[in-house]
Amino acid sequence: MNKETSDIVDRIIYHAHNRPDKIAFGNFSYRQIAKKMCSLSLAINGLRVLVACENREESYIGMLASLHAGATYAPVDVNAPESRLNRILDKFKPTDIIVGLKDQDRFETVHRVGGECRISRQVVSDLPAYVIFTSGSTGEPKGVVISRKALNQFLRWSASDLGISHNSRVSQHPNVAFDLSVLDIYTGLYNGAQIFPIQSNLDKMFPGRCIQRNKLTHWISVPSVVDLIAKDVSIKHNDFSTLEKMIFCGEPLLPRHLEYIYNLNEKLIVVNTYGPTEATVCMTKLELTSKDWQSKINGSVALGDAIPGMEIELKDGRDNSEGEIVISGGQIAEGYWLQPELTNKLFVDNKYHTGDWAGIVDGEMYFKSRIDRQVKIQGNRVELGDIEQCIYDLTKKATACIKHQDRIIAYIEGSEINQTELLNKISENTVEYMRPYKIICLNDLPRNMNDKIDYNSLAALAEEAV
Amino acid sequence: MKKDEFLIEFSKIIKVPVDQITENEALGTTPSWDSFAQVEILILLEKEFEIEIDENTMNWYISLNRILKLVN
Repeated sequence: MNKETSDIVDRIIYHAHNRPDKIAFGNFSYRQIAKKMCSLSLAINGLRVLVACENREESYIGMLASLHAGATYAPVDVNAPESRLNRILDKFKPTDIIVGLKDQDRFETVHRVGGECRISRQVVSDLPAYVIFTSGSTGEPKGVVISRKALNQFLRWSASDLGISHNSRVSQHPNVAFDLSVLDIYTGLYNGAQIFPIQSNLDKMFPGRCIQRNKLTHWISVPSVVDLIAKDVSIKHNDFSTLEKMIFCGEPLLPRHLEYIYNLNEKLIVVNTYGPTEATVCMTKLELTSKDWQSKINGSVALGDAIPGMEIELKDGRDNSEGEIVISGGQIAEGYWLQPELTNKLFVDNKYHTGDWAGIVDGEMYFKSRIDRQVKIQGNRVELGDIEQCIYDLTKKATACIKHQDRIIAYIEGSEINQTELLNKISENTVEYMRPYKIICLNDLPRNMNDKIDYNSLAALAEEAV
Repeated sequence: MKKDEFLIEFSKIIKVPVDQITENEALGTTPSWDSFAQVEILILLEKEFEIEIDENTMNWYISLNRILKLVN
């Protein structure tokens, strides 16, 4: 089989024939998942498949069956609020719904993951591979449409460049409704690896012990999971001896994450990647070692270089050293599901305007902030992220700043803050118009369902506080 | 570890002063008793009271009331 031309479904069938008894995930061998994929594929009648399984392993088979049937799937988190699921159902209008054993009573007209049949060729299709519904800044689900061509291009890179082989034991941490899961599920299966779904509460809350118990070789997640691992003081130096690589995406990777990781295992290779869902998971890569990581830090870790077939440029900055990240190449999404106006606004001349602001320092690109986090104060452009970073450096506490009535309000997580002292220190580090007018301490910063700071709630709080 | 010593450590984790802690403190109810705090509490129980952290204990020790039965 030619790896250059085959896709994930072909590769599953290839492994089913060549390593039939090799475990793919759970108790399922590659032969079993190929048979389950083909059986479920036969049941799919239409073009749009909602994959709504609580169990991860059933989700994987559901997604593969949709690809095998030539349909387009949308994976959802069945534990999301009912209102969000209903909005996704309204937008996607699935022709078929795939559910697991636990979920069959929640939806009408469903197909259950379960049966097996003879392995067969997939249906040739030009339809998109999947639609991932993200939250969007308004909280309204926004469907990002990824073509089969984009998925195949991404997998050709990830399967050949991340050191995952049929001997690898790969974590599967992100929920399947989050596009980072495309990286671990499909790259692992593409290369015949064994993947380990992190779905029990125990594994989610003690990921370090999960790495040890399952002798994982590759860990893939958002960087903030490292903070959770670090809470577990029973994890000691060299406990991650089987681990070869930790691959991160979805949030800025911070110096404290790398300090912790390299104190545990100095032989680890850490891979930082960057990319919005609209670029099919990620489109830059930077490899770090214990010897060189400190040279790639500027607040957070550098984003790295564009991967093959993708390009990255900065636009609309004061000069070439800063600007909005604009990306292009074969992994770019087809657009937003049934939202042509928004698609035309953000996908211009086959380039996607990310809304992320970045800067170049010593030849490396660093994420700075979302563009919608840039405000004007007394006519001066201020990046709220810069003030948050300044306060974080002084307090080591999570911080969020907003603009309210032409003034900056800073919210700090925690209660033990000497506000006068802190304001004096901020004054030493910032120009006058950047200094917060008020600092408000909260036990917890409000967060949305993706665990990101909920700035709308903070703005509402400001109305009451000022 | 005695109850008083435990409550001092517990207070640091859930960020509530010792004299304001009540037996009603619980995961999801006490604002700062989140999943990060839950990990720290379970590790404290594992270290001081030799509980085995598994799915059962994780689902059981989610309120101070239950934890105090172990401590007493």
